[in-house]
Amino acid sequence: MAKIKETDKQLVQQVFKGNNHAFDLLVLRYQHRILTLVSRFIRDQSEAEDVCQEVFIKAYRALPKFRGESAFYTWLYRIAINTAKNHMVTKSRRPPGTDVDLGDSELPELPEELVDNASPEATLSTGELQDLINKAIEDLPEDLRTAFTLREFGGLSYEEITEIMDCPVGTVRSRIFRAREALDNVIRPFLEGEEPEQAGASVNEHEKSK
Amino acid sequence: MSSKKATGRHSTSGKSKLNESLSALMDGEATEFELRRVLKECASDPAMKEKWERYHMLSAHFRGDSQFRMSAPTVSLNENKLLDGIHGQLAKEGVKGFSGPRKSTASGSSQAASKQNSSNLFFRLGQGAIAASVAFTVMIGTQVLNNSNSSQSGAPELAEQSSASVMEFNDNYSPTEFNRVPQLNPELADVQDLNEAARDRLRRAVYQEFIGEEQESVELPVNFSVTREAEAGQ
Repeated sequence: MAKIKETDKQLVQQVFKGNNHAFDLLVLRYQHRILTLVSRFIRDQSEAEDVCQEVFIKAYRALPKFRGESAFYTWLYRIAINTAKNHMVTKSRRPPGTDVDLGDSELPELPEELVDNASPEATLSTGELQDLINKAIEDLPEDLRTAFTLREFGGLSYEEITEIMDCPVGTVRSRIFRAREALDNVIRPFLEGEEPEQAGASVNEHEKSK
Repeated sequence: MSSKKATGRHSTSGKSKLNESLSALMDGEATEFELRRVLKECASDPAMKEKWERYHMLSAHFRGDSQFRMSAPTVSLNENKLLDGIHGQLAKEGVKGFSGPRKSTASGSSQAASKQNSSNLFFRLGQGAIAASVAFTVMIGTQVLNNSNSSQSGAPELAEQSSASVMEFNDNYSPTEFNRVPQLNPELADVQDLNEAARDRLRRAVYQEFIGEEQESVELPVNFSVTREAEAGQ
C-alpha cells in the first residue's frame, strides 16, 4: 500500500505541475471505490454518481491544500464521506449511521437495493462477466496466474512475489502485466459488446509476437 | 517522414512496454521516468486511459466493489460520464487545462504542456534569482571576513580567501528577501580577532543585513553560519 501511496503522490505532484491527465488517472483509479462508498449513503445510483462527481471536483479544488501527510485515498475518502453526508442533509435525509469507519470502505458490502434494482439483463451480464473473468484466470499459464493472484488477491509487492516465486523482479513485473493483458482482452470485447477472446489464447498470441 | 512518426504511434513492442509501465504504475512499482512517459502517452492516446480504467476495473472486481459498475454498458472511457462531468464542470468554472468534456485530447494536452512549460520556466527563473542572491550574499560575507582578517594579518589575499569562504544559511526565504541589497555595517571592519564572540557578532550582523531588519536581538536560523576553510585548517 505504501507504494500505491507513493504513486498517488507522484500523480498529485504532476497535477500541481499542470498535468491534468494525472488527475484523470487518479479519478479513474478511485472512481469505483468512491462510488461504492458514496452508495452506502445514497442508494439512488444516478444520485450517487452525481455526488461522486462532486467529490472529485471538490478534491481537485482542494488539492493545493493536500500536503501529502496522509495518503491521497484517505484524504479523498474523507471528502467523499463529508460530501455524501452534506448531500443527505441538503436532501433532509438522515445519513445512515452517525459515522462510517474508513476501514469499512475497503471492502464494502453492496447495498441490497443496488443489486435488486439492477435489470435482469444487467444481472445476467454481471454474472456472465464474472464467469468470464474466473474462466480467464483459470486459463492463464500457472506462472502468470500465481504472480497475478499474489499481487491482486494477496496484495504483495513485486519484491515479495520475487522471493516467493524465486525469479527476478523484472519477470514478476512482466508476468503480472501479461496476466492483466490476457484478462483485459477478455473484458474489453465484453464491455464493448463484442465476442470475448480466450485468455489463454491471447497469452499465446502475446508469446508469439515477442 | 514515416506515418508512425507523424501520428506519434509506437511500435507494437514500444506500446507493449508502455502498457507494462502502466501495469507497474498501477501497482506503485513504476519509476518516475515511466510515470512521465505514461502521462505523455495519455495526452496523445485515449486508449491508454481506457486501459488504465479497465485494469482498475478488474482490480475493483477482485476486491468485490464493482458489481454494478462492471455491468454498466457505459463503462467505456470514451463514454465515461464521471470524467466528462468533472471536465465539463471544471471548464465551466474556468479552471485552466480543462476545456469541457474530454473530446479534444490533443488540445487538452497542449494546454497542459504549455502550462507545464511556463511553470518550468518560472521554476528556472526562480532558481536563477536564488542562485544569484546566494552568490551575492556569499560575496558580502566574504568581504566582511576579509576585512576582519586583513586587520589581523595586514596582508589580504582576496582571491584565495573568497574561494575558501563559504556561507550556509537556511533557504526558507522568498525571492523578494533575496533581492534586498544589504548595507554593510562599518563597525564590522573593526573586528580585531575572530574569536567566538566576534564570530557570533559577525554572524548576527550579516544575518541582520541579510534580512534587512534592525532588531535588538536576532534569532539566527539553525543553519546560518559563516565558516572559513582557511581558518579551520589552522
